[in-house]
Amino acid sequence: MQQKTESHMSPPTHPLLEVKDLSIAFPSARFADNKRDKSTTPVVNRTNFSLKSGEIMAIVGESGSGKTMVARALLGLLPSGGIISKGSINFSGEDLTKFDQQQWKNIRGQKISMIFQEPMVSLNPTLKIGFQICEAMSHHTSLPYQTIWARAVELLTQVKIKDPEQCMHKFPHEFSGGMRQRIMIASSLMMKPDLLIADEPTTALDCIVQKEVMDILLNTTRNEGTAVLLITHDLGLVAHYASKVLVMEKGNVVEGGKVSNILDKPTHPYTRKLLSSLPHKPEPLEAEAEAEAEAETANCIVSIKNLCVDYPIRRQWFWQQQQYNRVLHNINMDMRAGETLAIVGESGSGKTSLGRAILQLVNASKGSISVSGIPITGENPPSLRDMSPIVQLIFQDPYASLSPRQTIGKSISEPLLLKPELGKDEITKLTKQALKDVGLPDDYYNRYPNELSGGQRQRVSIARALISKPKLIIADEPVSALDITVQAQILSLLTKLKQKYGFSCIFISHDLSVVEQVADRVVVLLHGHIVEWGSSEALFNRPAHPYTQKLLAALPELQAKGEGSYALHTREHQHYPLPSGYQEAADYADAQLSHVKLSDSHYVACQKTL
Amino acid sequence: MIKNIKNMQPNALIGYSLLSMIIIVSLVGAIISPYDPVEADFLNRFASPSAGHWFGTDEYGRDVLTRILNGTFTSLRVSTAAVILSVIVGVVLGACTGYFGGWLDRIAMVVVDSIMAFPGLLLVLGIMSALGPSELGIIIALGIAYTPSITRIVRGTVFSLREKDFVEASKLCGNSDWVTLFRHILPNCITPIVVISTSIFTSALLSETALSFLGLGIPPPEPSWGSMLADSRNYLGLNPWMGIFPGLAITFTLLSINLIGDALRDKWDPYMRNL
Repeated sequence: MQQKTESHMSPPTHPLLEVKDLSIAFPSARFADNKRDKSTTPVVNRTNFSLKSGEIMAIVGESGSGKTMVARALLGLLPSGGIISKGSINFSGEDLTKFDQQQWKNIRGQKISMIFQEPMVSLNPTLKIGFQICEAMSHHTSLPYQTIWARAVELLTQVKIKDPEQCMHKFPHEFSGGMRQRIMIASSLMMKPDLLIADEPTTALDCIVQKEVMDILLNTTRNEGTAVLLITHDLGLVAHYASKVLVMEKGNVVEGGKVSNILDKPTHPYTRKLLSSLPHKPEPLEAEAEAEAEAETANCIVSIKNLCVDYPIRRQWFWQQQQYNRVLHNINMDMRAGETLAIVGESGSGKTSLGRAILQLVNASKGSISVSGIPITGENPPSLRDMSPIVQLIFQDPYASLSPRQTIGKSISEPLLLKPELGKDEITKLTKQALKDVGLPDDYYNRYPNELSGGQRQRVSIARALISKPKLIIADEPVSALDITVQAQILSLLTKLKQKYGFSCIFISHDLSVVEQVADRVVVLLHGHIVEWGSSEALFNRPAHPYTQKLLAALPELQAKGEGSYALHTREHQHYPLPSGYQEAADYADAQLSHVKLSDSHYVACQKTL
Repeated sequence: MIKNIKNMQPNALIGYSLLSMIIIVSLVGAIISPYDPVEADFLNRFASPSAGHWFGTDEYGRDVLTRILNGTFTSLRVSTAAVILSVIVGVVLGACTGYFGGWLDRIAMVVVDSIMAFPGLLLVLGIMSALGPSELGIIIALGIAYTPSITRIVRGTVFSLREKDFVEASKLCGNSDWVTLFRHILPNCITPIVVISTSIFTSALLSETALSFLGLGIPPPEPSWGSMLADSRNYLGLNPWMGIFPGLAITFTLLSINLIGDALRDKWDPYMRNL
């Protein structure tokens, strides 16, 4: 199938990069089967693709699919032990697989360069930006330093860094993640490479920043005529930016070709699975009206009044006055029992602090919170033990949320140990039931977390939160660390469990497409202020606040068009203006926001025009 | 049991068998040896190794092998007790300061830092001169001297674990601070504690030697490896085996302890478990 697509779309001109039958293997684990054999384990099998200059191709796959290995092989940077066991990589007429270190040196950075996933660690914190950008070029060429410097400034201008000349004299810590990624783009394009490999370049960034960086990356490479190989797990990104795509599963290319063709007619089951795992708009339920009516009478599970949260700033000297950094400003929020409320915002917007305040993990400095009728702020707050049957948390990072030295069973059953009326057998029975609830076999009871995958760990985390049958579950980015198919499974598991146990759920997330799938109501946070809140339907269809509109526009989304076919969908909202007489707050640090009611269940916060 | 041994890594196997060999040989040897470790035999001073005295004799004509075998227990007892003492004090102090922080942490860290500011041997000498040369004195002095490094390491580890999600989860379950500390945090500190205690064990063994060397160790005529090594220094040109054999005993014991320490670290590290 692969060959067919390739021949079908083989370019008339000689391609820049041609990968033929590329297989990558690693030596087998030493203690496998108690035998030390010299056999190897393949991680990439017989991959074929080609890339013309200036073209943008994406490799899509989940973790462990081998997509990064392909990228690393193109740069001769396979992790130690990895070998190219078969095939050839033809790059502008030369076979890269036969290169020695000296030849690689001339290719890397000059002809092929790479952008890494984590902008926070890919720049050396002890060297100035200017030096780091110019370093490679001054090694490779004999151009005068002024010329190189000028080229760097020109590129920084292209990636829209403000005041590029100044920037060259600064250190990396003075820039945010998005800015650093732009600097990385500039630095990787210094030598006018023919090919740029971008390995998940925006995965660590917020969605608005992601859009900015991707736009800049593609504009710049288009200006420079550089071909781009984009390694990603995000199909929306692929649809938005790439022209060709390769879908990889467990080291095999399962499908490849033009993006539009593949979206239109995905043929391989894995591609279809990937596409169907994308968060999708829920079908409007008929029961909704009924639910509304029910909600009217239902009581509030969480009620927050004028909540402010401050974090102390570290003092230099003990006689200095303690300064505070306000992360949440005058939050007012009510949540009905049984609903799913999503809290949305970029990193640093205070969404996690809000969740932690409800859990009593941070203290409110002003205002009040009551959960299920119990005030948790004020004079005599209830202890965490009193609150544990009422509110529980599901963590973001499945690798940090389970104690590595406790078996799964022990981790899950822990809340039950505090109930003296339960016998040992009963606890085991309940724990196994909880394992069954989250879809894990009960022989996982005696396993340790390191034997489990990320998705399975997240299931355990859910089981632990659910075992004390809480009324409210706070899920802090529960799926953002997971692969897309696993993410879909966890989301549907949460929905299923919610129906079964009827808990309310606060869903904290930065991913609006996920939020749209699960939430009944949405709260948008910006710099510690609630700027808009309302029913999911109102907020996604008629976003009123400019920030919400920006968030939604930045979302590269794929939508089902019908039977198994998908198309890129950008939310081109007609511009809903703020109510007359109001404007967006210019400075959120000490803004006095008024809350304007737009409809029954839709509010926006903005400033009165003076 | 046999299966466990089979799965053991070669280094661990060497370490365990070396240490158990040393202990068993000393036990049996000390009993069946025809010589007395303490009583002098002036007719046989400075004898070379021979069929009668395998490792030769010392300046009082005592059999070196017998003294080494008897000294095993003194030396191991002193260093084990010192390590246990410093681990108990250090772990309790480090866990409490790291977990609760606050003024307790500040005061404890000032004390710990000031102990650490002294050169280790100087500190031990000071404490020893206050307590007088006795076995208990050495144990207490060494225990105090090694507590700060354990406290520091445990505190740092607890400090970083305290922010982990699973610790937060334990609090949200309603567990008290102590349960959280003992059930979730301390088990995850085992790896660094094991590593640091084996290294402390080795340096305690050596410090005991150094103290004996300075005349503040196990009071004579009781045999210990350190005091034997110390006694030999005046006669090294004349009778080198007086020093060589206790030195070898120390070397092999340290080697076995270090190998065991590495093996324990690998075994208890949950990330290495299934490799």
